[in-house]
Amino acid sequence: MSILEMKQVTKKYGNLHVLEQISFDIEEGEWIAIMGPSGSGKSTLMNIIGCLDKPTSGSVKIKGRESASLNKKQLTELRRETIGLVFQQFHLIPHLTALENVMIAQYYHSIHDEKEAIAALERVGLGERIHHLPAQLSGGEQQRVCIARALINYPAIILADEPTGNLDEANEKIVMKLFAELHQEGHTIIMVTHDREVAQCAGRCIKLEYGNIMEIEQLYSPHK
Amino acid sequence: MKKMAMFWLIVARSLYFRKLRSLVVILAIVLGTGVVGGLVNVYYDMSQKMAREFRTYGANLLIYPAGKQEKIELATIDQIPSHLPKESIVGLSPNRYEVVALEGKPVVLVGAWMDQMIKVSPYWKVEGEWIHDRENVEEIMVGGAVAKKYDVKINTVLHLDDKGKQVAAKVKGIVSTGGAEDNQIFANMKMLEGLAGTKHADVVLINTLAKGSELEQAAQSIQQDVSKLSAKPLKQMVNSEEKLLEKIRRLIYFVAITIFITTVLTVSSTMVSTIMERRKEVGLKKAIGATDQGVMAELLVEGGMIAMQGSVMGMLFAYCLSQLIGHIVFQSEIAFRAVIIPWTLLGSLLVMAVAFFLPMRRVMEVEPAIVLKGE
Repeated sequence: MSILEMKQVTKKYGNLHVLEQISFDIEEGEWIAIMGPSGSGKSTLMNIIGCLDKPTSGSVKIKGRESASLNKKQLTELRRETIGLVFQQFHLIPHLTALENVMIAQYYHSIHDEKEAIAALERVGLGERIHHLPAQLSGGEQQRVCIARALINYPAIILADEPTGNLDEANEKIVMKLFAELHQEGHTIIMVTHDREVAQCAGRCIKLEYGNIMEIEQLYSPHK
Repeated sequence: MKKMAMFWLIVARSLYFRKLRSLVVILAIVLGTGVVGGLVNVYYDMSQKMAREFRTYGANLLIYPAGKQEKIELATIDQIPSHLPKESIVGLSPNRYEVVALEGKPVVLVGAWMDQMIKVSPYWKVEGEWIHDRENVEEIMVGGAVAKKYDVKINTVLHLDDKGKQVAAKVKGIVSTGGAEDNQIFANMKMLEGLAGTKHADVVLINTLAKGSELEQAAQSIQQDVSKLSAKPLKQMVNSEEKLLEKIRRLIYFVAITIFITTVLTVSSTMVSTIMERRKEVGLKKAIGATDQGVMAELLVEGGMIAMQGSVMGMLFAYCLSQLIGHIVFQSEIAFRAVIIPWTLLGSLLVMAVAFFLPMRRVMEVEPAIVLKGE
């Protein structure tokens, strides 16, 4: 079953066509990499998939629900229910501990559960660091808190924007291992990356250029 | 309940994280509301304090015979107090002026209620002592010029003569005012009545806390209801009192408005930079599912907490400031008015509301996709 269906998606800012007639489907449990040079439309595509933006035309269905016609409040609700966001710059709230940064996502979703949040941090290997502030954590650890926060509400899709872009090689490996484990567990992952090596971990790679899909490369079977 | 606990945790952590910035805002509110609250408190108390202060300048209401009457019957004096606001009379004394002879030369003898004269004319400079007993017919007070002319000292016994009838009296005090009093002799009404053999007054001098329109009304009321009496406020005194109070009132309004605007600007500029710094945080919260209203509630409660702390400390500051002003200016305590409390609180919240308005609007327009964009 397709967890995400994009049909003829176009995004224009005035006369500038950022995305042009983009269509593809993503199956549940797939790991998709989106690649492309700067200005190719990757971020816009990510924002539309992540319900942070709407297409000018076309259809976007997430778990069968059309997002293109939703208003701001409904988009927030859909994003809260179905999308887990992982950012290149982690974007943790500086005055909250690792645990509270995870719990805040639960709080905005429904109700926070400390035990569950601790379990999510243990899951990403940060069981000993739950009471640390972001400033007391390394970049890799911050990214893992960000992943724990993305996972905490059991989202249908984990949307990661250059998740290893700000990490050194050692931390990049830890984070990619984590994504691989999540994929193994059946999570659907959509990841924007510049890094060819990172993209190679995905099942399919969508290559964008000038707002068009140039190629969808099948790297391996989605349920390998 | 659990959700509220998380809400307060978010607010408390944020306030603690920005404690220095919050402190600056709190201090600005403390100073702003404190100074305004203190001034308003002083203003409320000032009317009474000033009225008492002005009463040291002497009588402000003069009662004199109406129409063709030449004298005031003493019995009518008892009717006067009921026409003035309750407990507003500081001093009241009938005055009677008779020319008597002192060492064969004419001098004006003023008969009065000497126990009241200290209240009616507290500005007199007295060498020796005042006469505090209305029944005292053995002592007198002498004007400075008379004392000089006749080489009168304290305890000198003077012999006053009214058409052959004589009385001897000891000088208890020498009065200096720089005015007509310096050429007069003051004795209790009872002594003058004994000397002259008749009972009446020429005028009644009243020193009252009533002022402005209140005093005008009292004068009219006396004139209408007490036959044979006319009354008039001593305009110069009343007007200068009113004018001074009006000037002080305007000054307080001006200072209060200026301080309010300065506080709003200080708090606004701090809040703008604080909130604009938090655009990413707001964007993130929206991205992970917070509604605009939810984020706004967090920021408003943070602002409200700062305003509350500022207003509580501002009230204490207002109290201390009003006491300081009271001691420096009036040499007495200023009563703290409960009405200041809601006004200070409201003022602080208003400062925060105005200071929050612009940055809040801009922060609510934050698009997560834009502020969270990777580099």
